[in-house]
Amino acid sequence: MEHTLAKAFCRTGNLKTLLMQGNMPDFVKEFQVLFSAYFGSAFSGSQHSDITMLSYMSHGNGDAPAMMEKPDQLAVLSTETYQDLISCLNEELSPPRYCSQPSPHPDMWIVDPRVQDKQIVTMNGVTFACVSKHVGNSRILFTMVGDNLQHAGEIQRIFIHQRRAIGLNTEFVTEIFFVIRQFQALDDMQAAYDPYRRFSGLPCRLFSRQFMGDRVIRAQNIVSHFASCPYQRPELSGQFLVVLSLNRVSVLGVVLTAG
Amino acid sequence: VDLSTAWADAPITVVLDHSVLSEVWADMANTSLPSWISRAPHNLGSRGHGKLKADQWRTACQVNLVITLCRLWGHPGASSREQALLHNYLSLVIAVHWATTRSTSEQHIELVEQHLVYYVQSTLELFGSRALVFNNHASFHIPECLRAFGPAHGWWAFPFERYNGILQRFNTNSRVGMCTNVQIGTKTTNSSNR
Repeated sequence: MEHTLAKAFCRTGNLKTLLMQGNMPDFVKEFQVLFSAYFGSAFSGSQHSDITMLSYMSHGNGDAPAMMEKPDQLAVLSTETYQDLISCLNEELSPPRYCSQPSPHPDMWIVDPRVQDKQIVTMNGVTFACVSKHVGNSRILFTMVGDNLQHAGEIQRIFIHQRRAIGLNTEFVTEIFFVIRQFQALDDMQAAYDPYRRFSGLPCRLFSRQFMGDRVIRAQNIVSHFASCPYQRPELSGQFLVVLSLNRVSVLGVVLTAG
Repeated sequence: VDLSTAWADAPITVVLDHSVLSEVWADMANTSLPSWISRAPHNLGSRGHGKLKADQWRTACQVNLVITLCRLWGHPGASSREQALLHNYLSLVIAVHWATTRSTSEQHIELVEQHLVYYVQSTLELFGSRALVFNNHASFHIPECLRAFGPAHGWWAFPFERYNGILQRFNTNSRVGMCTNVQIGTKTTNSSNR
């Protein structure tokens, strides 16, 4: 009996992971609809999210974002967000290749300010949402290129943007971007009263509830969601937020703090 | 320590009393969590919520209690006992956190080992030998399992917890031993899809 139990468990576990992959042949995708109809309600919990995420990590997410709206229905970015987007696109490029105005340099491309807004996106089996839609799904830790600090922020806006590709065979590339409002880190004086900081192995810190401003980031900058709770103590004046990382692929040496 | 007699005549020590639990409940109501996390019951610690699932225990202990106990017992004005209790509890939380990450290394394992040892030593100091259970001994084998088998999600006991749940929910009509392999297999197939 134990053998039957173990075999059935392993078979269905593998089947579930297989069906979670985005790059399955069409006939298997059809089967997935039936599978979801019968067992969809049973798909919940942290364990399920873990399996889904691992499945995507090992096999990749086959579903690339696509612009669904007609060009005249797209939203136009504000000047500030547009400039942030250009900075984000140029971040790993030297010299910069994207600009907002025509350039005499032949390798410079003008970035289209039109985007398609999204309220919710699911990437690698994890759902991210704008703060207006779901506060818990909007609070994320993220890193910037070249540093090992994790910053805490809130997703204000999610948009899909299409641009001309550089160094790729495809003519255009479509990508999801997030407008993040970053929580301010504590200064040294305040940090002395942070009770979470004393435990170096604990992935939890206090942040100020004041925001530093908006910035545009890519999907690959996102580390994980975080659990958050307002924090108040008499010895610490101001409004603060406990930020507890929910990253389960934690790497030692990556510091949960911000500057 | 003789664990079979350690609990005999031991006085009851309440650590999470009603005042602490009230703070935990208040923080739980204000805590924002992503939708993929299983939430612990809002009246955690009361009899009313019944038996918690392993996933709910994980959220309660790794998220909710960490947030509140650090706030209550981690400030400079906390008593030495409160601070000792906090260090004791957080050493277990840190050990569990680093033992269950999706990647592991010798540094991870040393951190786990160090905090598990501190947890057991400080438990002995705070509560005496009566507080030790067989799982404390078993936990000292986790570092060698991490070295031998890699990240814990490949060999941890969550699937077996699920088995226990399946077997407990199985309707036997009080006729133990009458279930056929087919019935069990079908039930398992359905449930393991969860």
